[in-house]
Amino acid sequence: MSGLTQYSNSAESTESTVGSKLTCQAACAKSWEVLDGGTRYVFHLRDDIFWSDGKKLTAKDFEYAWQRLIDPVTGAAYAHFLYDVTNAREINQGQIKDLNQLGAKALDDLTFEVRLNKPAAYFIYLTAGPTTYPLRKDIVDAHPGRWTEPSNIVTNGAFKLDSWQHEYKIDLVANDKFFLGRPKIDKIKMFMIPEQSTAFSLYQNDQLDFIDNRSFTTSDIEQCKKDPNFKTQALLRAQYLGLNTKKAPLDDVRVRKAFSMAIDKSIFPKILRRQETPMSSWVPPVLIGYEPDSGLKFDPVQARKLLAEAGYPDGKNFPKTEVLYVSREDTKLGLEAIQAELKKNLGVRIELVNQEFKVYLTTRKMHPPQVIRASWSADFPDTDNFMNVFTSESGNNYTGFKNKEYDKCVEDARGELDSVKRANLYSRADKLLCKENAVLIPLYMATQCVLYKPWVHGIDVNALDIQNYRTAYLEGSN
Amino acid sequence: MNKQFLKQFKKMPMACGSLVFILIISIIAILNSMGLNLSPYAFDQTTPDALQSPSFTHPMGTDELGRDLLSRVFYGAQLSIGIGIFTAIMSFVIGTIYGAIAGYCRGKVDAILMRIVDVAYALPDLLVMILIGVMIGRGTLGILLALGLVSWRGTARLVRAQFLQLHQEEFIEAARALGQSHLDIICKHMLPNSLGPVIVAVTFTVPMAILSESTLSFIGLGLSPPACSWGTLASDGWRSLRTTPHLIFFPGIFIFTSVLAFNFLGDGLRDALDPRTKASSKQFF
Repeated sequence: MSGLTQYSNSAESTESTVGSKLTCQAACAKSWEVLDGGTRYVFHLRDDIFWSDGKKLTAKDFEYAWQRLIDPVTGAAYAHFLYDVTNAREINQGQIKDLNQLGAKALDDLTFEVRLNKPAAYFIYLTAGPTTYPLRKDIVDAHPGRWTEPSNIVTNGAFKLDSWQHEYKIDLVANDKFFLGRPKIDKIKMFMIPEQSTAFSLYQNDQLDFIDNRSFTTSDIEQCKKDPNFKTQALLRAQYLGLNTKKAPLDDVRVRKAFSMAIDKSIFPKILRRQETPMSSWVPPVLIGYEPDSGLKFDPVQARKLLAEAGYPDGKNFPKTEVLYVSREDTKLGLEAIQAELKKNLGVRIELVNQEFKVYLTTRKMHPPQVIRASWSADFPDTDNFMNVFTSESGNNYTGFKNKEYDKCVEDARGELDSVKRANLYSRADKLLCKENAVLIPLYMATQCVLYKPWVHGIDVNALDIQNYRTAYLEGSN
Repeated sequence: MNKQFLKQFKKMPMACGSLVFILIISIIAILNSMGLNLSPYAFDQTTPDALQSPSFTHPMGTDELGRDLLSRVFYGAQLSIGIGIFTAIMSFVIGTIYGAIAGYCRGKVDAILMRIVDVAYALPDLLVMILIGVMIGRGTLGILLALGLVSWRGTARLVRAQFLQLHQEEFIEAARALGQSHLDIICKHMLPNSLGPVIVAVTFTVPMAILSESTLSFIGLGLSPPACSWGTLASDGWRSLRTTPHLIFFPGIFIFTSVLAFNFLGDGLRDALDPRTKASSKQFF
């Protein structure tokens, strides 16, 4: 599928840390204007875009997609994405019933206008993500609930969905009429292989051309690194421990700080071996508002002192503390290392509780334990996307942390167009979160590792882990 | 009887060897649980030497966090063998009492009790273990109860069958004619005479429990890290089969040999306890 804009290709850059360098390029919109001090966007669509069934793409398709996203009947988890758009929040929360009141409108077939409540520095990124892709009203209405099936779906991207055998395989074929030029590859087969070692063996036997992180284990990495076609891409994916501020013993800020200071984050790249970047603040190093000393530094002596002040000298009488995590090999490994660190530096033994992903999500929402091992993948490359997680009304904030100053900083920074002021607001919020209240312990930024055969070229993986096959081509021995 | 048994048993070198092996492993496990470290490293002690191949300092190499595999295998013995033997004991106690009641009372009581066993048999083991695991919670106690509660059914049927057979024997009739109480008949006459097959069956429970524990730990209902058993070590290790095979090799060898040893021991016990089998005809054992 293709949206109004798209992220610039990062394949040409040789450096592994981009993130901030991701910019938006023209896609379905050939150009756009930012008017009225950043509160009005006007997109001019290309005249030569056709859906896979031959019908022409119009601004109405965007209008419908955006209305559907915000419609409370759809119940979209990502509806809050568009809350900056005029009346979006009111419609989504049911105060306004008329979907046409949404500040996103098709002015004519080729002009799409968006009005915002107030300027939002990151708004253009939203138009590059899948949430705001266009949709065909006639198709969605004709096959309610089943419009994504291969026989029903109508798309406008570089590839078309040919078949989809659930839990097994997805077949994509090149779209001859793609408006940015037909992709060089005719067909892509994507296999869903639950077992990592199976996928890796298939790759080694030349039955797969391209695999990523999901297909090799931590101990396979060393072997992969010897391959000249092994590449690591830094992701905007933060790994952290969320601390429950409502449950003893972590309701005491001194205990939270002690935990945060007792974990040496430099161990993660050594254990997980994927060139992870250790973090001590919540704002990632590549984004606006990052300051090296926003978080707490590794300091076992001070950590011990804080724990003693809180009433647990050398970890004595420390209540049973559970850490909830998803059953995955690398998360478990990292947590066992954290467990060893806390035992060594604080004398505290934490209990690790693993759950399957869906069960984990429910537990996290309904009965969050003292500590939760979690991961946040950026939806768009802006600090707002990270800071929003821990606001009072965020659905992803299960730490019990509610702080008016923090909320205000994040809210003000959203509309702040002066980048110095914006950075200051974010670093203030970051300090509140990681240093003064120690609500979470940032661990590291994850990476995506890919391994491809010598005849595969041009697959683009960016910091949001969007894998783009449009520019891919095959060349050389096969 | 006892002398005869020992004589028979001694004729089977494999069974004797197995017994010695099991004793050695058990001693390691017991020493470990008393807090005696048999290797210079603690089982959860991380070092910077991750994924080392076997060497003099680490005879079995180290894992991804630099923990000494030898100390982890020794620590694992404690849990694996412990869980195996406790499950066997639970299965023996529950199964024998249940089977004895059914086999002795016969009639309606027997019918009802055996139908319950049928129902229990019909439930998939894994499902029952998961349910119990969820109810009781994680950790060693949960595993012990879960395994114990699925392993008694075979023993119960066996004991009942033995009892039904013994009812026809003349010495039981004689005991009854002498006016001995029910409890005395059960404990003094029937139980000792049905014990042979039961002991054999219970011996086979041990390897079953060792393997089931690894299944439970694998799906996350078993032990929580850093505690480890041979099962968890193997399930962690097999992922790195290609790159660092020692991580699966050593726990695998220990699971394999101890399961084999318990099976040989069971076979040996059966032959020695059953007067109808001549040990000489089974030179292999």
